[in-house]
Amino acid sequence: MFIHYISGLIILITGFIHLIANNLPSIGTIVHESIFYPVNLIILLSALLYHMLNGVRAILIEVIPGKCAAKAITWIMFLVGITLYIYGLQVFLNLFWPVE
Amino acid sequence: MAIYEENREGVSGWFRITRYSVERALYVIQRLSGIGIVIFAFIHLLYTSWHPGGWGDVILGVLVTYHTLNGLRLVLTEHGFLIGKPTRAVYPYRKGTLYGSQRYLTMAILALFVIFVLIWSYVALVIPAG
Repeated sequence: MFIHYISGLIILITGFIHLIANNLPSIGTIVHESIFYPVNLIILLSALLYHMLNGVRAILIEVIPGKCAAKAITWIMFLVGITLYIYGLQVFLNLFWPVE
Repeated sequence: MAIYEENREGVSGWFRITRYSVERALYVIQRLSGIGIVIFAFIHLLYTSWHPGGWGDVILGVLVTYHTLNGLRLVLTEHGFLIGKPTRAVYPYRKGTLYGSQRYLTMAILALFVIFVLIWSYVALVIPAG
């Protein structure tokens, strides 16, 4: 659960930066055009995926009891997380470092 | 396992909030807002830069603000801050962990929630309109 809290705090900080960079014309444009923006996005993606899938996992384990079900849920969440992470990184690669 | 099965209430059990303290209701809202944010985040990841827009943005802001503030309260509580010292249980029982500073913390996050939602609604609705 400790990683859940830590990732929550990371989402609070990086999500705030993400919102400001996208919506405030004055400071946002400076952040948006620097290397800090994609770095921030990658951290946000990692923390958000962990936090949201761990949350869904906690709900599902509570609703569907049993040790076997818990293991299956954990593995499904892990695979979904890996898939979404690779997909997200690929989106970032295409956005920020496109192949010419 | 047997005791667990006996106490199991399922999804409908989340909504049995009468005869409990207000923290029980906060927990249900925390869970529902979390599910809402997961649905948004899923679509936002798959269709990059998608967001609901207009009143949808306001609803999303409500969910995110609540989830963040209550999450901060839960982190503080989980690590033993602002729940007071354990005391001997004497009739009439008064849940020491739920009164005093813990109750003020709850009030504070709810007040901050209202303030942040008002600010965000202004940002989401009034500023794009010009």
